[in-house]
Amino acid sequence: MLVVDDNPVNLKLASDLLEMEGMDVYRAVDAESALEMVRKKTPDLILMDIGLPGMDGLTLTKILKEEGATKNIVIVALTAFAMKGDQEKIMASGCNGYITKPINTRKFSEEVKRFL
Amino acid sequence: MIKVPTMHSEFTFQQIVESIPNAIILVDREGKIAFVNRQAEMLFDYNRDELSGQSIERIVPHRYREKHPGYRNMFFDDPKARAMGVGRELFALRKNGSEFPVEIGLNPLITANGTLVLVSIIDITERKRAEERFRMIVESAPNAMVLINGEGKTTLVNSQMEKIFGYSKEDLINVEFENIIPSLFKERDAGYRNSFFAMLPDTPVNNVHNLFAMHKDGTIFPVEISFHPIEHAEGTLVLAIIIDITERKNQEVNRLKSEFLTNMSHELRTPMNAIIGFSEMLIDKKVGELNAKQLEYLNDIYASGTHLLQLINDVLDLSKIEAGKIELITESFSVPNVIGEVVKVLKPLADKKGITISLYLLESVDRVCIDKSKFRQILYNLLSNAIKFSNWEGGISIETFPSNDNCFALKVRDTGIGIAREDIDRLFAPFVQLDSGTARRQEGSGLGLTLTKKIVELHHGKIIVESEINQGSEFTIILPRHISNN
Repeated sequence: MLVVDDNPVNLKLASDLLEMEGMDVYRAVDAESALEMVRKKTPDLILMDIGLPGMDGLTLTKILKEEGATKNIVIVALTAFAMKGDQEKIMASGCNGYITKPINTRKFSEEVKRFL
Repeated sequence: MIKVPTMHSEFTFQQIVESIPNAIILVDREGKIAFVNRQAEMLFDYNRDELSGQSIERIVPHRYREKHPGYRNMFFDDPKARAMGVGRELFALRKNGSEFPVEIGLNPLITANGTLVLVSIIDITERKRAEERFRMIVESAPNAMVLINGEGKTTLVNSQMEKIFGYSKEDLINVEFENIIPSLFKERDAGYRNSFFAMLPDTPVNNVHNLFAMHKDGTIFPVEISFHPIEHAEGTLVLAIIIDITERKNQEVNRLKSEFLTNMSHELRTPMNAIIGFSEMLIDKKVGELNAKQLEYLNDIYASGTHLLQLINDVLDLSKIEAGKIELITESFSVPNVIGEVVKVLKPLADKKGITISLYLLESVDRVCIDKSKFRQILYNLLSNAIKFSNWEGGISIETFPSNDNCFALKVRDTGIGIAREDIDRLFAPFVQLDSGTARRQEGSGLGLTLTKKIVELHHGKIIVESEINQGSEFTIILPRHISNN
């Protein structure tokens, strides 16, 4: 699976946690490099921080969901739910679901697995 | 003075006058009509024979006939080409007795038979109608409008002007425009003032000014004014359109507040993720064994982190409520169910102190339609306070019962240390914590009750506190059963 987060510490937290549970994890710090990685090797699931620099997470989601090769990838948004209407925007862009930040490390991998 | 150029003498005077598109009448010293052209015949609906030799007063409306000869004599005493009756409204009379507004030019004509006056007459009925239509448009415009003349004075205002300035039309007409908008020429020199209206560029795009105006009651409000030059027969006038932008500015302020809250939300929660997440992982020994001290310190970090997160959430919630950014999301849910959920979450905390929680939930308070997560938040706050301030092996009870006017009540009672009467007032103030000892102060943010009260108020409900020192406390909240989604 692919984890995308522009904050390197948070990227490490989520990725290390999932790797400890035995999952094969790739990392990306922005939407553009995430896109490149997806084209090279299709992941089963993408865990994506919403607030990314440059192209934002929801735009990336829309792009992936529109292409035949990538539309079946499960995309889970990571969000702090800062704004009113965040939830609607996330679901409207095609995400399969969301997990709120800060993450609960004890439940995180279970929640992620549930999406697969 | 009109002199017929000799080189074109093949044209007679008559041919020239007949070819002029205006109505022309030649009048002699005694006021008798000497000549009438075709246009004049058509305009007044007379045959030239009917008018030849008649006195000019024949085509002047009755009410002006008395004074007219006087004006005639004044002209012949000092015959100069000019417009007649400047500043007056002139009317002419047709054969059938009907009147129409006119503009009249007078030209002295020196002939062998003495001085005549060549009167050219223009029917300005259409022009007056157009002016009236313009006036009506200005009046019916949704924005405040002022017509300003070449001297910088107001000549026409509409009702919207009365509305936004609080003055009557009479007060606003024929005054210097800068008296109405004092900030227009503030700190500018006389040169700027004098040329301002004359030098307005043609395109309104460059003519928008953000200024301040003063209402009759003294309040100052921000306005946006655009100036539009209008070509008029009497010279260039300026139409000023004034918009009260108080509302627009408020919305801008609100939008900035919103953006700030949103950014803060995100920024503050991001590092918390790492602090809480990594301490959790270390405590859970996911990255190796720990000695007792390491575990202890990590627990301290973790506890501080979760406390900080709670503080951030509470402060942001409070800010959002203050900024009016919180909307209630209503849904139908079962009150006993939510109470059960919250009790389940807090039971471990109660068990640690040997506290028993009893429920007395009346069946008549079952499903309600309000903001479920806010209700849960209130209950969580009241119950955790009850546990915090209860003694060892104390008892807490949670009751629900109907209240009048389609409301229901939730009462959380404890038998703990209670609250002193003088402290009850301060209870809901932000960051007030009524506990003794620094150890306790680490839990909670001091905002719980503040938020609870605000949420209850958002629901148009009530919160009541009864307490006595060492006897325990009772917190009752009354909420409506239904809130409509607006």
